[in-house]
Amino acid sequence: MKKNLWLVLLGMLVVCLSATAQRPRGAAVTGVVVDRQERPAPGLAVFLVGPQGRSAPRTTDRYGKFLFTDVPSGQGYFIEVYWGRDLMYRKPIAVQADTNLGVLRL
Amino acid sequence: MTANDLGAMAGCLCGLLMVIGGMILLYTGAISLNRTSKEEAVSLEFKRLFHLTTHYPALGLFVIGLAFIVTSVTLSRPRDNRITMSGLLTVPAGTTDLDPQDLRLSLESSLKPQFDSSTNGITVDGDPTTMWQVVITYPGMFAAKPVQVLGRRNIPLGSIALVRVAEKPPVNLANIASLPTTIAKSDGGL
Repeated sequence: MKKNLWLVLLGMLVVCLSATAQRPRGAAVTGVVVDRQERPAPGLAVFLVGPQGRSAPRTTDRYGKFLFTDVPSGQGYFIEVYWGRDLMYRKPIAVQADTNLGVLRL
Repeated sequence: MTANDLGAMAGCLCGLLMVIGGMILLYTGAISLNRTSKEEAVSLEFKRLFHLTTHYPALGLFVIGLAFIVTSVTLSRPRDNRITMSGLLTVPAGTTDLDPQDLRLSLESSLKPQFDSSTNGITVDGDPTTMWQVVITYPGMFAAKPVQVLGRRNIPLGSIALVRVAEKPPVNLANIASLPTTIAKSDGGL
Protein backbone atom coordinates (compact mmCIF):
# COMPACT_ATOMS: atom_id res chain seq x y z
CA MET A 1 0.00 0.00 0.00
CA LYS A 2 2.79 2.38 1.02
CA LYS A 3 4.74 1.45 -2.11
CA ASN A 4 1.70 2.24 -4.28
CA LEU A 5 1.36 5.63 -2.63
CA TRP A 6 4.98 6.44 -3.44
CA LEU A 7 4.40 5.39 -7.06
CA VAL A 8 1.35 7.65 -7.31
CA LEU A 9 3.31 10.59 -5.86
CA LEU A 10 6.21 9.92 -8.23
CA GLY A 11 3.80 9.80 -11.17
CA MET A 12 2.26 13.13 -10.16
CA LEU A 13 5.75 14.66 -9.92
CA VAL A 14 6.66 13.42 -13.40
CA VAL A 15 3.41 14.81 -14.84
CA CYS A 16 4.02 18.19 -13.19
CA LEU A 17 7.62 18.34 -14.41
CA SER A 18 6.72 17.41 -17.96
CA ALA A 19 3.94 20.00 -18.00
CA THR A 20 6.44 22.63 -16.88
CA ALA A 21 8.98 21.55 -19.46
CA GLN A 22 6.41 21.72 -22.26
CA ARG A 23 5.22 25.22 -21.39
CA PRO A 24 5.56 27.13 -24.66
CA ARG A 25 8.35 29.67 -24.55
CA GLY A 26 7.36 33.05 -25.92
CA ALA A 27 9.11 34.64 -28.83
CA ALA A 28 11.71 37.40 -28.82
CA VAL A 29 11.04 40.59 -30.77
CA THR A 30 14.00 42.81 -31.61
CA GLY A 31 14.68 45.82 -33.78
CA VAL A 32 16.66 49.01 -34.21
CA VAL A 33 15.21 52.52 -34.26
CA VAL A 34 16.97 55.15 -36.36
CA ASP A 35 16.29 58.78 -37.21
CA ARG A 36 15.95 60.25 -40.72
CA GLN A 37 19.75 60.34 -41.08
CA GLU A 38 19.91 56.61 -40.24
CA ARG A 39 21.54 57.36 -36.90
CA PRO A 40 20.55 55.06 -34.01
CA ALA A 41 18.08 56.71 -31.67
CA PRO A 42 18.70 55.94 -27.99
CA GLY A 43 16.33 56.51 -25.09
CA LEU A 44 13.06 55.97 -26.97
CA ALA A 45 10.17 54.05 -25.40
CA VAL A 46 9.00 51.05 -27.43
CA PHE A 47 5.71 49.27 -26.76
CA LEU A 48 4.05 46.17 -28.11
CA VAL A 49 0.29 46.50 -28.36
CA GLY A 50 -1.63 43.26 -28.62
CA PRO A 51 -4.98 41.75 -27.82
CA GLN A 52 -4.07 41.82 -24.12
CA GLY A 53 -3.25 45.51 -24.20
CA ARG A 54 -0.06 47.54 -24.15
CA SER A 55 3.21 46.07 -22.87
CA ALA A 56 5.56 47.64 -20.40
CA PRO A 57 7.95 49.88 -22.31
CA ARG A 58 11.42 48.89 -23.43
CA THR A 59 13.95 51.65 -23.91
CA THR A 60 16.22 51.74 -26.94
CA ASP A 61 19.88 51.46 -25.97
CA ARG A 62 22.70 53.61 -27.27
CA TYR A 63 22.65 51.66 -30.53
CA GLY A 64 18.91 52.18 -30.95
CA LYS A 65 18.23 48.51 -30.19
CA PHE A 66 15.28 47.18 -28.25
CA LEU A 67 14.30 43.68 -27.16
CA PHE A 68 11.08 42.09 -26.00
CA THR A 69 11.25 38.57 -24.63
CA ASP A 70 8.62 35.94 -23.94
CA VAL A 71 6.08 37.44 -26.31
CA PRO A 72 3.15 35.06 -26.93
CA SER A 73 3.53 34.05 -30.58
CA GLY A 74 0.97 33.27 -33.22
CA GLN A 75 -0.84 36.59 -33.04
CA GLY A 76 -0.66 40.08 -34.45
CA TYR A 77 0.72 43.09 -32.62
CA PHE A 78 1.40 46.74 -33.20
CA ILE A 79 4.84 48.12 -32.43
CA GLU A 80 4.88 51.67 -31.11
CA VAL A 81 7.84 54.02 -30.66
CA TYR A 82 7.58 57.17 -28.56
CA TRP A 83 10.04 60.06 -28.53
CA GLY A 84 9.30 61.38 -25.05
CA ARG A 85 5.52 61.78 -25.07
CA ASP A 86 5.19 61.89 -28.84
CA LEU A 87 4.12 58.85 -30.83
CA MET A 88 6.51 58.58 -33.76
CA TYR A 89 5.88 55.12 -35.13
CA ARG A 90 3.14 52.52 -35.07
CA LYS A 91 3.01 49.59 -37.46
CA PRO A 92 1.36 46.17 -37.35
CA ILE A 93 3.65 43.17 -37.00
CA ALA A 94 3.12 39.42 -36.91
CA VAL A 95 4.95 37.38 -34.30
CA GLN A 96 5.12 33.70 -35.26
CA ALA A 97 8.54 32.96 -33.76
CA ASP A 98 11.59 34.97 -32.74
CA THR A 99 11.20 38.09 -34.85
CA ASN A 100 13.77 40.67 -35.93
CA LEU A 101 11.91 43.73 -37.16
CA GLY A 102 15.08 45.18 -38.66
CA VAL A 103 15.39 48.94 -38.88
CA LEU A 104 12.47 51.16 -37.89
CA ARG A 105 12.93 54.59 -39.52
CA LEU A 106 11.17 57.44 -37.78
CA MET B 1 6.11 35.34 2.17
CA THR B 2 9.51 33.83 1.39
CA ALA B 3 11.09 30.67 2.79
CA ASN B 4 13.35 32.91 4.90
CA ASP B 5 10.33 34.64 6.43
CA LEU B 6 8.77 31.26 7.20
CA GLY B 7 12.01 30.04 8.82
CA ALA B 8 12.30 33.18 10.91
CA MET B 9 8.68 32.88 11.97
CA ALA B 10 9.16 29.21 12.91
CA GLY B 11 12.28 30.11 14.94
CA CYS B 12 10.39 32.87 16.72
CA LEU B 13 7.53 30.49 17.46
CA CYS B 14 9.94 27.87 18.88
CA GLY B 15 11.49 30.53 21.11
CA LEU B 16 8.10 31.68 22.35
CA LEU B 17 7.09 28.06 23.01
CA MET B 18 10.26 27.49 25.05
CA VAL B 19 9.75 30.63 27.11
CA ILE B 20 6.03 30.05 27.68
CA GLY B 21 6.61 26.30 28.23
CA GLY B 22 9.33 27.12 30.77
CA MET B 23 6.94 29.42 32.60
CA ILE B 24 4.28 26.68 32.66
CA LEU B 25 6.81 24.10 33.91
CA LEU B 26 7.91 26.52 36.62
CA TYR B 27 4.30 27.13 37.58
CA THR B 28 3.45 23.43 37.77
CA GLY B 29 6.63 22.73 39.76
CA ALA B 30 8.20 20.40 37.21
CA ILE B 31 11.29 22.60 37.28
CA SER B 32 12.47 25.12 39.81
CA LEU B 33 14.73 28.10 39.95
CA ASN B 34 16.64 26.73 42.93
CA ARG B 35 20.39 26.83 42.82
CA THR B 36 21.80 23.39 42.02
CA SER B 37 25.04 21.89 43.23
CA LYS B 38 28.24 22.17 41.24
CA GLU B 39 27.82 18.59 40.01
CA GLU B 40 24.30 19.27 38.70
CA ALA B 41 25.17 22.55 37.02
CA VAL B 42 24.36 22.64 33.34
CA SER B 43 27.25 23.40 31.07
CA LEU B 44 27.04 24.39 27.43
CA GLU B 45 30.11 24.54 25.23
CA PHE B 46 30.59 25.06 21.51
CA LYS B 47 34.03 24.30 20.06
CA ARG B 48 35.83 26.27 22.78
CA LEU B 49 34.35 29.43 21.30
CA PHE B 50 31.43 29.57 23.65
CA HIS B 51 31.17 28.24 27.18
CA LEU B 52 28.30 28.74 29.59
CA THR B 53 27.79 27.14 32.98
CA THR B 54 24.72 27.83 35.06
CA HIS B 55 23.63 26.65 38.48
CA TYR B 56 20.06 27.56 37.50
CA PRO B 57 19.23 25.05 34.71
CA ALA B 58 15.67 26.29 34.39
CA LEU B 59 16.99 29.61 33.24
CA GLY B 60 18.58 27.78 30.31
CA LEU B 61 15.12 27.27 28.82
CA PHE B 62 14.50 31.00 28.85
CA VAL B 63 17.96 31.84 27.53
CA ILE B 64 17.69 29.39 24.64
CA GLY B 65 14.13 30.54 23.92
CA LEU B 66 15.21 34.16 23.92
CA ALA B 67 18.17 33.29 21.69
CA PHE B 68 15.73 31.75 19.19
CA ILE B 69 13.58 34.87 19.23
CA VAL B 70 16.47 37.34 18.94
CA THR B 71 18.12 35.34 16.15
CA SER B 72 14.87 35.05 14.21
CA VAL B 73 14.06 38.72 14.53
CA THR B 74 17.61 39.70 13.57
CA LEU B 75 17.72 37.41 10.53
CA SER B 76 14.29 38.40 9.30
CA ARG B 77 15.09 42.10 9.25
CA PRO B 78 15.00 43.29 5.66
CA ARG B 79 18.48 44.05 4.44
CA ASP B 80 19.06 47.39 2.84
CA ASN B 81 20.84 46.55 -0.41
CA ARG B 82 20.17 49.83 -2.07
CA ILE B 83 22.93 51.74 -3.75
CA THR B 84 23.02 55.46 -4.38
CA MET B 85 24.61 56.98 -7.43
CA SER B 86 25.05 60.71 -7.62
CA GLY B 87 26.71 62.96 -10.11
CA LEU B 88 26.28 65.96 -12.34
CA LEU B 89 24.56 65.54 -15.69
CA THR B 90 25.42 68.05 -18.38
CA VAL B 91 23.19 68.36 -21.42
CA PRO B 92 23.98 69.54 -24.95
CA ALA B 93 23.66 73.25 -25.57
CA GLY B 94 20.18 74.27 -26.60
CA THR B 95 18.45 71.52 -24.62
CA THR B 96 15.60 72.92 -22.61
CA ASP B 97 12.98 71.30 -20.41
CA LEU B 98 14.70 67.97 -19.93
CA ASP B 99 11.99 65.65 -18.65
CA PRO B 100 13.45 63.46 -15.85
CA GLN B 101 10.82 60.78 -16.58
CA ASP B 102 12.50 60.03 -19.90
CA LEU B 103 15.93 59.51 -18.36
CA ARG B 104 17.04 55.89 -18.07
CA LEU B 105 20.14 54.55 -16.37
CA SER B 106 21.58 51.11 -16.94
CA LEU B 107 24.76 49.33 -16.01
CA GLU B 108 26.70 47.52 -18.68
CA SER B 109 29.69 45.29 -18.27
CA SER B 110 32.55 45.05 -20.68
CA LEU B 111 33.30 41.55 -19.47
CA LYS B 112 33.80 39.29 -22.46
CA PRO B 113 32.11 35.92 -22.06
CA GLN B 114 33.55 32.70 -23.41
CA PHE B 115 31.15 30.33 -25.12
CA ASP B 116 31.56 26.59 -25.42
CA SER B 117 29.50 25.51 -28.42
CA SER B 118 29.71 21.83 -27.47
CA THR B 119 27.90 22.36 -24.16
CA ASN B 120 26.34 25.80 -24.77
CA GLY B 121 28.09 26.83 -21.55
CA ILE B 122 28.93 30.48 -21.03
CA THR B 123 31.73 31.63 -18.73
CA VAL B 124 32.79 35.12 -17.75
CA ASP B 125 36.14 35.76 -16.16
CA GLY B 126 37.35 39.20 -15.14
CA ASP B 127 37.64 41.81 -12.44
CA PRO B 128 34.09 42.89 -11.64
CA THR B 129 35.17 45.95 -9.69
CA THR B 130 36.47 47.79 -12.71
CA MET B 131 34.56 46.57 -15.72
CA TRP B 132 31.23 48.35 -15.43
CA GLN B 133 29.86 51.29 -17.29
CA VAL B 134 26.95 53.44 -16.30
CA VAL B 135 24.89 54.34 -19.36
CA ILE B 136 22.30 57.10 -19.27
CA THR B 137 19.88 57.53 -22.16
CA TYR B 138 17.43 60.26 -23.01
CA PRO B 139 15.48 60.45 -26.28
CA GLY B 140 18.12 61.08 -28.94
CA MET B 141 20.99 61.25 -26.42
CA PHE B 142 23.21 59.01 -24.38
CA ALA B 143 26.11 59.18 -21.97
CA ALA B 144 28.45 56.46 -20.77
CA LYS B 145 31.11 56.40 -18.09
CA PRO B 146 33.17 53.65 -16.41
CA VAL B 147 32.23 53.24 -12.78
CA GLN B 148 33.22 51.11 -9.80
CA VAL B 149 30.06 49.46 -8.56
CA LEU B 150 30.67 46.29 -6.61
CA GLY B 151 31.07 46.54 -2.86
CA ARG B 152 30.04 50.18 -2.75
CA ARG B 153 26.83 51.74 -1.55
CA ASN B 154 27.49 55.33 -2.52
CA ILE B 155 28.81 55.60 -6.02
CA PRO B 156 30.07 58.97 -7.17
CA LEU B 157 29.48 59.44 -10.88
CA GLY B 158 31.22 62.78 -11.19
CA SER B 159 30.30 64.78 -14.24
CA ILE B 160 28.53 62.95 -17.07
CA ALA B 161 27.85 64.58 -20.40
CA LEU B 162 24.81 63.61 -22.44
CA VAL B 163 25.66 63.61 -26.13
CA ARG B 164 23.03 64.13 -28.80
CA VAL B 165 23.31 61.37 -31.38
CA ALA B 166 19.93 61.54 -33.11
CA GLU B 167 17.56 64.35 -34.00
CA LYS B 168 13.84 64.22 -33.40
CA PRO B 169 12.22 64.29 -36.82
CA PRO B 170 8.78 65.73 -37.49
CA VAL B 171 6.07 63.11 -37.11
CA ASN B 172 5.56 61.17 -40.34
CA LEU B 173 1.88 60.27 -40.45
CA ALA B 174 2.63 57.47 -42.90
CA ASN B 175 4.48 55.76 -40.04
CA ILE B 176 1.48 55.75 -37.75
CA ALA B 177 -1.16 53.12 -38.30
CA SER B 178 -4.42 53.43 -36.45
CA LEU B 179 -5.24 50.93 -33.75
CA PRO B 180 -8.27 48.73 -34.30
CA THR B 181 -10.98 49.25 -31.75
CA THR B 182 -10.78 45.58 -30.76
CA ILE B 183 -7.42 46.13 -29.09
CA ALA B 184 -7.70 47.01 -25.45
CA LYS B 185 -6.38 50.43 -24.58
CA SER B 186 -5.27 49.45 -21.09
CA ASP B 187 -1.75 48.38 -20.23
CA GLY B 188 -1.22 44.69 -20.75
CA GLY B 189 0.96 42.05 -19.22
CA LEU B 190 3.68 41.48 -21.79
